[in-house]
Amino acid sequence: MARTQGTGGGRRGAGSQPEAVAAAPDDLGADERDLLRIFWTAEALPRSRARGPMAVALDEFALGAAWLRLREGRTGHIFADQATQDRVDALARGLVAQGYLVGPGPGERTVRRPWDGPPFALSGAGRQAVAAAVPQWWSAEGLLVPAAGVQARPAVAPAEAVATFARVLAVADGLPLAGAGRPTRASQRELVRCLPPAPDGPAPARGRSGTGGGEAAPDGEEAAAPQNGEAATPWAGFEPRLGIWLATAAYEGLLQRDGATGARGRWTVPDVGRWLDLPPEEQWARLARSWARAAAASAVAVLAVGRLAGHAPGAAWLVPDRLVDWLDRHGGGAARMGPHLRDAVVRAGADLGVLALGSVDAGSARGGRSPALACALTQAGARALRGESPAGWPRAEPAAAASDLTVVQPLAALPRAAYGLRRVAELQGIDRVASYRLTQAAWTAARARGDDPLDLWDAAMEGSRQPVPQNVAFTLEQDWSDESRRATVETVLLLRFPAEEVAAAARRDATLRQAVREQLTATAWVLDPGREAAVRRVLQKLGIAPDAGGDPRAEVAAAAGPGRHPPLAGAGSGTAGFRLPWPGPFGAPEHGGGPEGLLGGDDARAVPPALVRMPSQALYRRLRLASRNREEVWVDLAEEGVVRFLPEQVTRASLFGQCRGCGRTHSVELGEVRAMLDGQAGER
Amino acid sequence: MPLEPDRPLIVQSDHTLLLEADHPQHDAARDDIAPFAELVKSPEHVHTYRITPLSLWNAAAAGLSADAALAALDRWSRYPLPQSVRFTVEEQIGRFGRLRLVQEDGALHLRADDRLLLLEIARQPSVAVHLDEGADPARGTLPVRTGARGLLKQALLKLGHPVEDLAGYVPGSPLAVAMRDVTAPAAGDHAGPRGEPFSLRPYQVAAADAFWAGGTARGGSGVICLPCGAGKTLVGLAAMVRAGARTLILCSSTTAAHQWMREIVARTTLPPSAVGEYTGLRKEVLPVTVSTYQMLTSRRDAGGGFPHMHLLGEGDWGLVIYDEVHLLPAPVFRATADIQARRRLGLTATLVREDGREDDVFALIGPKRYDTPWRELEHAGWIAPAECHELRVTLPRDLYRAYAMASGQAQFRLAAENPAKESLAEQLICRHPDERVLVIGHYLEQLRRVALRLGAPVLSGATPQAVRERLFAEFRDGRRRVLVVSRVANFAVDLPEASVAIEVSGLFGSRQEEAQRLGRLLRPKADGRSARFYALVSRDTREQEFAAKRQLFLAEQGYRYTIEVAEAG
Repeated sequence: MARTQGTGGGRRGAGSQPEAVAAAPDDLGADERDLLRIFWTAEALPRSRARGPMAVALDEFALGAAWLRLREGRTGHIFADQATQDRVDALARGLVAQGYLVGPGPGERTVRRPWDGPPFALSGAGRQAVAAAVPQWWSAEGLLVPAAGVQARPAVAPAEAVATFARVLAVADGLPLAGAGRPTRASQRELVRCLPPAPDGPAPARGRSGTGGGEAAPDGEEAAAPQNGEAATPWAGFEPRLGIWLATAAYEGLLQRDGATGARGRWTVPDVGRWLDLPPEEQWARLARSWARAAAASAVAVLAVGRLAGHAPGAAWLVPDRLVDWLDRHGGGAARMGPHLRDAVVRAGADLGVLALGSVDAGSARGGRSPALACALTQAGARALRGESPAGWPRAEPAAAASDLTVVQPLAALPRAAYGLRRVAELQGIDRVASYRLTQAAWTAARARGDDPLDLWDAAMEGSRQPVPQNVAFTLEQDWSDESRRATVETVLLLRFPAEEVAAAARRDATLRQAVREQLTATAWVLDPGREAAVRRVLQKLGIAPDAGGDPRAEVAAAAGPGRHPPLAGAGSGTAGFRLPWPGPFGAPEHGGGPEGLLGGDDARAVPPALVRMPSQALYRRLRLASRNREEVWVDLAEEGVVRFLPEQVTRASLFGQCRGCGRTHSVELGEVRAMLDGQAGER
Repeated sequence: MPLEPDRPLIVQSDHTLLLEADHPQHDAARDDIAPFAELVKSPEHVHTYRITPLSLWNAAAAGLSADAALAALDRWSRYPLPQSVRFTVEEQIGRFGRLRLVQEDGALHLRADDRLLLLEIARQPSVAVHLDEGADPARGTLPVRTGARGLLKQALLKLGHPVEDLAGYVPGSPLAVAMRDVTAPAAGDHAGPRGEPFSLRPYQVAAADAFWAGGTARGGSGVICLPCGAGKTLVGLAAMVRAGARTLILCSSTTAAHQWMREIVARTTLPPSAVGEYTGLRKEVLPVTVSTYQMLTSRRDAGGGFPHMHLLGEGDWGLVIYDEVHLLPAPVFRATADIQARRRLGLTATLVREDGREDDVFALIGPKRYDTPWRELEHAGWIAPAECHELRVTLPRDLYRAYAMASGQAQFRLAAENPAKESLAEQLICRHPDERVLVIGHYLEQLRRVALRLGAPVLSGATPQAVRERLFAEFRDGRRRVLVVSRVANFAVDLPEASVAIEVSGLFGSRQEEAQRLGRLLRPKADGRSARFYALVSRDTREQEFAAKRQLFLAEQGYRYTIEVAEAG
């Protein structure tokens, strides 16, 4: 299939998809329109009561016995005879070429609706689609104001879209992402390079510093050729559809131009420079054509901070009726749309925090001719496309942080400041200003996403007239960022049998076998995470129900008598001590320590199977080293319970356990463990 | 209205107002908006106000018009006013005064110029039950059942109709009382200010005048909001003097009651024999009687009546003062509904109630008559500036193990009773050799250890009242520099000389209690030095989490604080 480009601005109907289909340009054939309606109205189709895939007979689809199976919200298959499949395939490709559907990514055979709909397998029974290779942010909700009465899904913030995009790019290219987690910035080249090339088209021209590549020109290139007769670039077919977002993202500081410094890996892509070299008016003309082709509606593109699209700063296309609705909702009064739509937006702009970038007048078809297209670019729009701060936009105002961990950020904040704050703080509300609250949850979430919260915070507070209060700085830098004071431990769920024959009998159960991740000994198995409930059921079925049930805390709280393992404190209950069944694999030799001491032994025969949460083998090995020094070891379990052991992060931690033999408590300082591991203590 | 980026006020469509605290025109803007906007919080840089129906009704009760309020907003707002805000201001201010409670021919009537409005509300079941039979809205006036004055106001307020209560008051038995120019010693064993010249501060006079309103029906009921340490007690006394009638004062504790009694005798011309205590210790009903909410709401069993609640309705009071009105218990609200003919004064640092019954305060006590934020008082030198410090101290290793193995409250207690705090407290006291220090804590064992180490006495709930008063007196006159106090003994204690407080342990106290604790330190010092509040917190423990919550509240009140890691010696 021709690897066509991503979609245009997203064809989002004004209220319902059938209307949008009805408004599709006349150049769609009847079959295409039918298929498009089926794809686009998938959500409106009646659902079966049964869970799981739903099957809908396409009675209206004039392709005979073809039918479309739609899995709720995720994937779909077309089941039909081969000829029908081929026909559907060809139609779908055509729709992709024209931007009504989003084409498949590299290695994929799925198409998607432009606004984040479920991907559909083009053909082949049982062939399942995987997560779309096309960026999720290319959804209409992210770019359009939803029509009144249509439930708007949360828009994807451009920053998150960048992250999604780059990750997909990395997966598609098989290249590892730099750093952990998703990058939060990507070059324009990286984004453009994500666009799948046409398998049959010519290879795109190499960029000025391109090393990657292999993408062919999009299949829809001819359809998207500029009408002014200029020679098409390899990217002309889809570039304009990306352009507004790229340009906006660049303006917002989310993109780095080639040559900019950055820690993230990037890929070089051909010819994006050529787009960037185009005059803003020409860029805008291409964007307008793309919009008109996709939406067939007049619109105004605006740059808004916080007021549009779910409070995500970014550019948006506004169509007149929706703008009226939106102004009614947010502006405290309708701005009636007269012929000068753009002027109305400009007038409302200062009050609403929007800045008109340009307008598109799709015109109307008259006398059988194609509608004339007119577009105009404002000075602000030109500056935005050049990546400059638009004139007339209020001067960037810095944020102010207060001791109560709240931050007030003017809407006229620097885009990177707005972005930074949005990533690390919880938005409380946006009105004339954006109000945030710093919370540990938001801070931690940022880190989990791969962000550097302190970097983002610095960006957010850039230019602040007042210093950050000391308690805020302390909280962010020490309490929430300093991981060195927290030790984390990787724990596993261990199933321990009283005897080998019991284990052997249990091993016959397939469910149990599948749940085993690692077999430590004949009687001690490490289970896969999340399999505890299934394992319990199996053991109960086998008549060897495990000791204590349900709550690991209850289990481990059972008093340890002589010869039995001492209890483990409650994991997941906040900071808690973790008393190991000592001596275990790292036990002191004089007490007969070793794996058997923990995992088996004579007295274990009297013990029913037990599910015990314990440190991993890796930790055991480390602790074994430490135990020889008999230093106190203390482990703080994070509130989530099961976390990873990162000794490089530990500066103060200790772990202790009670020896079964002598009853004394032995402990090892994890800092010591790290030192030993580093060879400083001279022991390996 | 174009954008005016140099103005200090941002008016948002959700009716919050953000006022830049560092702006050169902050004070002027604040003066303009404070009459009709509630101060929500005042951390650095940006103070948050909110326009609510209550705040607008309060403003209307004080005579502010919608035009004046909108003009103030227009004057200072950076952006054009949202239409919603304009509408709210006009609508809500306009509502106040549409309904009036008046006395006609010895009976209470609800009057409105808008007969349709009367018709509408008369048909509401919650209102109709309080009207006399035969009420005819077409006549423009509705007779109100006897004794339903407060309940009717409550019901109408819940319907969004504030009532201007012009029905007047019963004057109560007269009482000859005036403010002194020089303080007199307090009665009995209570130590107090002796022979010191004293006069009310300007804002205290303004507050009392705002409440009294010249003795007209437009005043005489309402709430005065002043920060802790600003002298609300004196405002109450000033109101009592203006009323010149028997007065009942309700407090939050016996200690607070004794403090009131001490102040009454010290600062007014009333003799001790005219001031009675109605508490668990004594049952005196005298021309000025001081009691507690606990006393009024005490009863033998949960289902029984309140045998002492009669105090509110009997005694022919000309004025009832509700100290710490934000703590008013529900049963007292109900009883207050029956005494609407008596002048009522509520005193508080904030109208925000933990139970959200601000509407009832408005309906049954009265609208807010006066408030001023602490920052203004600090700038004027009426309260001392305060520095707050959180000092984090490490839990000893052996104790940390026990901490980690413990759960929930036991964990917290282990952290709170960290022995390392004791030596740190000692170090802090040595750091302030010339200042009087309060060491505050929750756990008695800890307090005893601290007291032993410091050579200071412990005041707890078990300390006899007489002993407490003696120790307070010794602290006041300098014979004692350090007092170790528990939460019980600490509350509402008046120790103006204290300039340093060291909190060795706190508990899950209400946010108000935190401000109260700090407020003990805010009496201005002769040399202008700042008060210092130290909170000792065990590092990396649950205590640190609770301390963070406490910090937020203090920060919202505008107190700056720093966090340090301290190493105990």
